[in-house]
Amino acid sequence: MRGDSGTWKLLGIEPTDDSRAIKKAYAARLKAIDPDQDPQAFISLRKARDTALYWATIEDADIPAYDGMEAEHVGQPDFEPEAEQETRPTELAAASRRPNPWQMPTLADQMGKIEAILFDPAQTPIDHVRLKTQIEALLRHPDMATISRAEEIETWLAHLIIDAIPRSDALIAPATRRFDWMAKAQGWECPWYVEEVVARYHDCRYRDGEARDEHALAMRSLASEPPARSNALKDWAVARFLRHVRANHPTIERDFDRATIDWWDRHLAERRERFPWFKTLLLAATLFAVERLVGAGDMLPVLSAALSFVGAAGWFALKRRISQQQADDGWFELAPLTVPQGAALAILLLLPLAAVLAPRGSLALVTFALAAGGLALLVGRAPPSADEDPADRAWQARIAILAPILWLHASLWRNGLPLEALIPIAAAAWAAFAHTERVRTAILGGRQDNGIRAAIVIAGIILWYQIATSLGSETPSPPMPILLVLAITLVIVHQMIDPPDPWQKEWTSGSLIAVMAVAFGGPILAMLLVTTRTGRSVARTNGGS
Amino acid sequence: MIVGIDLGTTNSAIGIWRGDGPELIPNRLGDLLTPSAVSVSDSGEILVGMAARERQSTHSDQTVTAFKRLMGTQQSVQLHGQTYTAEDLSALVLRSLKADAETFLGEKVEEAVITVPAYFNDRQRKATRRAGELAGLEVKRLVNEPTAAALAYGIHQLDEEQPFLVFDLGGGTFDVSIVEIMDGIIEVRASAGDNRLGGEDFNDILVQLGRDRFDPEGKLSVGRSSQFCELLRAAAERTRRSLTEAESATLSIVWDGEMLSTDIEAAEYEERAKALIERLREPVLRSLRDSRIKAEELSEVLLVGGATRMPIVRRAVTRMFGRFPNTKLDPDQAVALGAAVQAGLKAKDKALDEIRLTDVCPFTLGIEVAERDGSGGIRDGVFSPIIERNTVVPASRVETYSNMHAGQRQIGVAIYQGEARQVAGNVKLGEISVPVPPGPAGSVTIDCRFSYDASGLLEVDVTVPKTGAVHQLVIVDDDEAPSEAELDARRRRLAALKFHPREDAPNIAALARAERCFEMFLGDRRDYVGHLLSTFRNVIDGQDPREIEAARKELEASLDELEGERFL
Repeated sequence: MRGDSGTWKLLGIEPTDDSRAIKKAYAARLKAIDPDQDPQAFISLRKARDTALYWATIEDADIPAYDGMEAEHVGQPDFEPEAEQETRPTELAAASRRPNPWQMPTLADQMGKIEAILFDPAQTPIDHVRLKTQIEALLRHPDMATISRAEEIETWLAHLIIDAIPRSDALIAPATRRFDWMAKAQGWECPWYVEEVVARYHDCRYRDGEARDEHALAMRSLASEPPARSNALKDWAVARFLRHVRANHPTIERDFDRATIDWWDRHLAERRERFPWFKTLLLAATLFAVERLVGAGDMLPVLSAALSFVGAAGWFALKRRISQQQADDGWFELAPLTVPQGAALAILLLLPLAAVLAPRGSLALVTFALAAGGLALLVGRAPPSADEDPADRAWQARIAILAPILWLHASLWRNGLPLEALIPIAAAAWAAFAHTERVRTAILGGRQDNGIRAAIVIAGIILWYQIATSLGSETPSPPMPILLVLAITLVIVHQMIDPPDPWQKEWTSGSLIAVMAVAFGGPILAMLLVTTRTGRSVARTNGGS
Repeated sequence: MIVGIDLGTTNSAIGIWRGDGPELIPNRLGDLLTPSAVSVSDSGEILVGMAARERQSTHSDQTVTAFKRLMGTQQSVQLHGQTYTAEDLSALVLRSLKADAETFLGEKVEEAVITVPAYFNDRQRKATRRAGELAGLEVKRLVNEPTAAALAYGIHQLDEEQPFLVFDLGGGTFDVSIVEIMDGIIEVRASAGDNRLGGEDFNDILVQLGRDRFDPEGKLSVGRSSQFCELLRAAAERTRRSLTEAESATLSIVWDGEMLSTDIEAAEYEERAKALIERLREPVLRSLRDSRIKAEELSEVLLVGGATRMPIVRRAVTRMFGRFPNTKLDPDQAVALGAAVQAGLKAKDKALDEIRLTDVCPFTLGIEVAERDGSGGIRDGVFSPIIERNTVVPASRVETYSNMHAGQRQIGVAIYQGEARQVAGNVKLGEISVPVPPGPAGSVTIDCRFSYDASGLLEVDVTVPKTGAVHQLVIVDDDEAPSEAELDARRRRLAALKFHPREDAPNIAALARAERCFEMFLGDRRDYVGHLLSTFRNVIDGQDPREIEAARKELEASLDELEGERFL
């Protein structure tokens, strides 16, 4: 027995596959109730009928004699239109109840011609003009006025277009006009094949428009034979193009040779499996060298480099977020930078150099005050997402403002007062953790929380700086492992803010949780360390006197 | 006694169930159809029906027609210094129909079934219901027009087992329904339509054609463009009807004492009407798709609505289905007859005991949601359907939604009706904001239950399972829902309006027609009509009812001779 017994009980019949019996039972039951007085009774009865009929048709489909039986029930004499309205060819009278479009000579001829052009491998490149003439002839065919014919042709044509991408591109425009597919695709329950044709239409427009400018290198690479040796730029371009196209314009992939795409996929996968350990180490070494060159114990250049790096990445993320909100369809498009934006970015990127070259003293302080202000603006002025809680937003702003102040504070007193600085930092860290849910979404969720993420990251970096200075106040140079961890953090942070691939994002978010735990555990550790040291030095001073 | 009323764009009709069949009630002029026209006489009295229709071209600033097209909007009409909404005007027509029925039946009529185009949206349906209430009728049910027509056809074809299609092109709206009958259950499988397409649009084409011919530069009608249009419109209706039979017809009006006349070829008219004909196709396709019935499985294609008399429409239907449509039903009366059957059903008449009707809701109903896209961004304004179109009513469906953001305190539920994927393209019906307990994103859920009753009115319940709170929203349009007191005031205002005495109606109609003819003709014929008019006025002044009736018949016969028979 299929369906639950309640269904059949409501209908008052034994389980059956006979649709007629079900409908009859429903009719009998319906007469006993008054839908106006008792809508619930009607709703349950109707549901029972629909369920029963559903089971009946599923069963029917398995019986081979189905078509014949069905035809007996609903078959009807064919209608002969009179001479005045010659709308169907006479051959049609002999056609079966659901005539196969191929049985209609004139329309079928036309369809055959189109298929011949599309699927003839000898015709490469395809003759778009001929194809267009043929499709126009088909669409203007008098038989197309009849609904059932037109519907068959519509379905056939949509499937044909999908099957023959990209050779069928010339068919899309006339067919879309004729069947009003654009409007249909706006509806929420449009047939999948129409959606796909419309998607292909948009993809083509993207391919011939924007993609030509933005992804020129990638498209050139994909259109030619797989190269013997690739370079990083090409890899990056192709990876970016494929990622974008697969997410937003899936049919464009079919414009390129399958084998070439496969080669690139393999190649990129191999590349992706290697994590940039070398780059991480190189970055750490560079930072270390710079630190050594500039002078022992002075972390300012390193820090400003780090901050600029995060700032630049944050800027891009912010930019993307703005353009994402502006795009009507919800998909972001990276808009080009405006002149002031570009200038701001350049200043931000040049800051580390300025830090290295600037003489110690007030100028350095002004430079870094500017940098801090820029960061505060970047983080604090991020546009709110669709329906953000104002309270959370206030916290973001507070942290964003707090971070550079603390940073300035630390750089001003980098040879003293680390303990006082640690207290507000600990407070900020606590505030961030009080909103663990948001911190979690910031780390694991989508891209919409870059503001708070940047703030947390900056707070973390400052914590490390504090630890470093507090440790460094007694010894002339900070211990190397701290720099190393700092460098790794930076790389991970960068990957987090602008991750190249979903899998990398997952990887980095996992490691970042560990790093963050250390970062926020740091203050307590540092406090303990500093207190014991101060205590020891006090004791030693006492002992010495 | 429950009556069935077809409240049409051009004409209205009223009928009752007689125990053995539906019957239409003649109005004060003895016609089964009453034009949906309202006019105010110079003395401030209200005229409804033929008399008002005849005044349309002669007193265009005091007369309104086709106000059904404004139903459910805030637009109002100025008549004789008074402001009327489409609801008020419909109420006046309903009141006139009610008075006719009361005289005919000799008993009070207080309950009614009123038809609406299937594709009327919630707002338009509520406006129609209010119009009934304003006219002092308790509206027991709103029935979709094609459903009513199917009912009128179906009760005679109860053994018919194949689905049939009702193609209803009325004065202002177009509806398609697919109906199936099984063991006395008349079941609407799917409805679709276009609530801004009808015979009036075809008239507009002729008006446009006339303007192009007579006044291409707009010089003639400077400053009086609307009056010019009204004149043309009245003439266009006549021309369109002539084009039904002939290959060409004359469109003529008198403007500034000058006769403007032009011949219109059927071919030219049809060329211009092509765009309208194209619009007939989509609803048919949609209803077939929704009901999963193939065009060739239909047993009949029933034509309903005055505009289906046009050969151009009939040809289009024939081409669409590859067969000739069924024209057995009177296209003007079928809907009213069906409404009368529904009235009988509603009154639980014995003869209809074995018959049940189920209808569908023609629109999709749902709420606005936001969703995350592939790159983690938020797309809002997305339509999430709850009751899909062409679900059998009454219906009740539940969908569960969850919070988008962590710690969200409120979930807003905005209710929409329509088919577009983005809510911006749909009709907003109402909004409710539900307080929810805060929690991580996706963890707090609400259940939205939509209940849709047989008249097409919607109720929304939102339950928060975590707190057990239930919030209910009976859809009332935020901006235009009048309060009970307001309705009362409007009812009183309408009741205070003085109707022209009923007994006088035929005379007034005849006079209005003669006046229109006087303006329409020139030269000898105008003098002749003027003579007829003054003779008739003298007889009326004599106040002898029998003499008046004889004179009126004579006048009408003369006018028939002059301009062809009066039509509805």
